[in-house]
Amino acid sequence: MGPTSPKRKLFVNRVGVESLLELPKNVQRQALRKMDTIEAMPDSAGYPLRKPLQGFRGIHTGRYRIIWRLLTLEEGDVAAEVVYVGIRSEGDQRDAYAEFQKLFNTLDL
Amino acid sequence: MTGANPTSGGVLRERGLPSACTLTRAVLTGRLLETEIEARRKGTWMMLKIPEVLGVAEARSMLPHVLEDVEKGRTFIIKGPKGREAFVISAEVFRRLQDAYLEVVGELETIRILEDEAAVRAIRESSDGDRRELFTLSEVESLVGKVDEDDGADKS
Repeated sequence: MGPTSPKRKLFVNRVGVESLLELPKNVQRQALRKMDTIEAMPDSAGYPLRKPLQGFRGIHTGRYRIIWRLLTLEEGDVAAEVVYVGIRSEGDQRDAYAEFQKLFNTLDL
Repeated sequence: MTGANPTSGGVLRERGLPSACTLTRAVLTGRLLETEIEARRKGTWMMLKIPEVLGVAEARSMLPHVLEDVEKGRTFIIKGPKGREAFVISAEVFRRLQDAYLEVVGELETIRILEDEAAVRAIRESSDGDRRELFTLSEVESLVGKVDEDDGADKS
């Protein structure tokens, strides 16, 4: 990173902290480790969410998901604001990755 | 086209709706089409061509030619012994495939999140000024640690 590159930062808002603290301890630690990844690459980690959640990004950590958005701080630095950490819905064999894989299997690629 | 998941596809079909797989395929097609239009506009479009299959020795002997062709958008499968195979693809094409993949995952995850009441509530509350108090990662780490200690104290 060059000397003029903006510093990366990560914040968790109150709602995000509350959602994190509701989770099992091991998942909280797992999520904190994942937040290190988000902090390092807030605008490219995970996947971008679409309308009406445009501007938010998501990432998976096991059966849990973290949702954040980008903040531009006064001094021009880019920061991630984590707004939610929570369990993904039951029956997650249906999750996006599995569904995508299934799709690839059905496409004649 | 029939849905890959006969159960959900069946329910959706009964209601006269397209299956999840149809929707996914439509999203994927749309995204790839957008990607193609954008790449054509920028003049960086490269079609993913049917891969040519080579043996290991053959690939080694013509490696400069293989890499030159890969740069032009061709793909190769190098077949080794015991079913080992390598897929050689241009890094640029791979990046575009990866981008398209992430776009589709994002589209599908958006649908999932919108079905998740807790997540939607959290996102909505995050726009509320009173709930915008921000904690740094180390503050959150200490909160998680503090809860650990409190739990320990409760147990003793």
